[in-house]
Amino acid sequence: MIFASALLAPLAFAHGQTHSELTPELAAERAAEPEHTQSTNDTTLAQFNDSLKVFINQINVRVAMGYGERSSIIRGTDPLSFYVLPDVSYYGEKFFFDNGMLGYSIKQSRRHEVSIFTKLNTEFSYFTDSITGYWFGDAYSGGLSSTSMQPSGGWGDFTDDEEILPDVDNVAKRAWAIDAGIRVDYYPAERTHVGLAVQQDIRNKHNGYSAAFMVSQGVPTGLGNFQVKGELTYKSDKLVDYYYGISSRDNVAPIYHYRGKAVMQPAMSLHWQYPLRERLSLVSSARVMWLGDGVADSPLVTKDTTTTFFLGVSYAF
Amino acid sequence: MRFNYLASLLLLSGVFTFTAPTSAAMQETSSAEPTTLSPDIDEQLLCTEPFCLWVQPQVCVTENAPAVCEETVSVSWRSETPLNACLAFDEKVLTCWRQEEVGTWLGDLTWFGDEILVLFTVEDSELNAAGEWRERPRRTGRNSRQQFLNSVEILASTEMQIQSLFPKARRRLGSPWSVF
Repeated sequence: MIFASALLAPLAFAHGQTHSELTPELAAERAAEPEHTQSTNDTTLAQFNDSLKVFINQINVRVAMGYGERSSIIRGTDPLSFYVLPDVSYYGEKFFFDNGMLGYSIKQSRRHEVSIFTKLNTEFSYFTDSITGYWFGDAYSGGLSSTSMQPSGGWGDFTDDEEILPDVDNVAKRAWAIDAGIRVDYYPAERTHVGLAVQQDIRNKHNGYSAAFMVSQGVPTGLGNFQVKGELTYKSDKLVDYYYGISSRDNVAPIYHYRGKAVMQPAMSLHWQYPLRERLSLVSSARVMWLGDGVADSPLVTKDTTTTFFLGVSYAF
Repeated sequence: MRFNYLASLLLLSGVFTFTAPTSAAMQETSSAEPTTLSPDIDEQLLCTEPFCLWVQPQVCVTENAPAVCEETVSVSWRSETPLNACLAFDEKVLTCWRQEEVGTWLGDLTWFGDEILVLFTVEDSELNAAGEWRERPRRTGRNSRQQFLNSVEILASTEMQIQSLFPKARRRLGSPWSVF
C-alpha cells in the first residue's frame, strides 16, 4: 500500500528526483508538523501524496482519458459527455493556478491558508451539451437564432406558446461569468482539508455571489486512494435568477416567467485513484449535487440533482 | 521512483577557528563521519588560532518533507587564554565555563534550520556560585532572539542548518480533477 500510495502523483516524483532543491530556510515551517517525520523515503513520499501537496515551482499536468458524463438539468440539452479530463496546477510560493483558479495566498501558516482568487464561474456550462461549449463558452444563443418561437398568423396566441416549454433553444443566451473572492483553507489533519470560499461575479453579468464550504478526507486503502468530499454551496438570488430565471429577455410565454431564488446546494463526491505504473493510474470520480428549490423550480430545469461520473486512465507528464 | 541518495540523515561536521574574539576569519571544513562526536586529534592540532570552536554536526541533511533535525551535538572549544563563557542554543543557555581554556559540551539538540548556537563571554560577576549565568532581564517578544544576541558579547556563533533533499512543497488548495 505504501508503494501504491506513493504513486498517487507520479509527476511530482519524477520532478522531485531531478529538482532536489536544498531548502534550509523552509525547514522551520515544515518542522511545525513533526508528526509527518518519517525515517523512510517511501513513507514520506506516500504521505506527501496522500496529503495532496504539490511541489512548488513545477507545472503539474495530468491528463485522464476515458469516459465521463454530467447529467443535464436544462430542458433541451443532452448530458455533457467528455473523454479527456485535464488536471493542471502550478504553485509558486504564494501564487497558484489550479484547474482554472488563479490565486495568491496572502497568509500562510501551519494549518491555515488565506488566499484571494479568481476563476471562471461554470454555471453557464449547464446550458451547453458539448465539451467545446463548456471550454470556450459558446453557450447556446437561442434568443437570437431561434425562429420557432415567432407567433405566426392565427396560431400565434398564448395558448400555443404555453405548449412550448422553455428550453435551451428558446431562452436568451446565458453568458459565462468570472468570479473573484477570498478563500480560507484549513488542514486539521494529514489528509483532511476544510475550505470556505466566498466569491462574487466581477464580469458584471449578474453581480451575484456564492459561498462554498467543503470538507474533504483522503482515505488510502489497499484498493487505491479514495477521497471523499462534502460540499455546501450557497448561490445568491442574482446568480440563480440570471441563469435559471425566465423573464421578458427570454422568448417564452409569460406564464413561464420565473424568478430565481437563492439556493443551498449540497454535494457529495468520491474520487478514486489506483496506481498502475509510475505515471499511470486508474482514476474514477462520481459526484452528485442537489440543485435546491430556487433552481429546480425553474421551468427551464428538469431535474433536482445533477450527477457527474468519470472513469479513465490518467497519465502524469 | 525512490530517493536513493542517503540514509535518512547524514551528519556533517563544522570546525571554526577564530583569530580574535569575534566571528571573523571563519573557516569551515566538513567530513562525513557521522559517528565522530568530538574533534579528533588531527583537527585539534590544526587549531593554531587563539580561539577555536568545533561543532559537530552543524549541518544535517534530511530527505523528509518537514525538515527537522534531532541530533546529539558535540561542542568543543579551545582558547589561548582562560575564558568565562557560556554556550547558548536559540536563547537557551546550555552551560557555562569559568576561567577555562578548553570546554566541551555534548547534548541532544533539535533544530529546524535557523537556530543559532552561540558562545559568548560573560563577566565573573555574572556567574553565580554554581557557575550558572545570571541572565540579564530582557523583554521577550517577537525579536527575543535578536534581543538576546544583542545583549551578549558573542565570541563565536554558528547557525545550525538543515539541508533538505525534498523539494519545496505546499498544500494543494484546489481539488484534483476539479474541472467540472
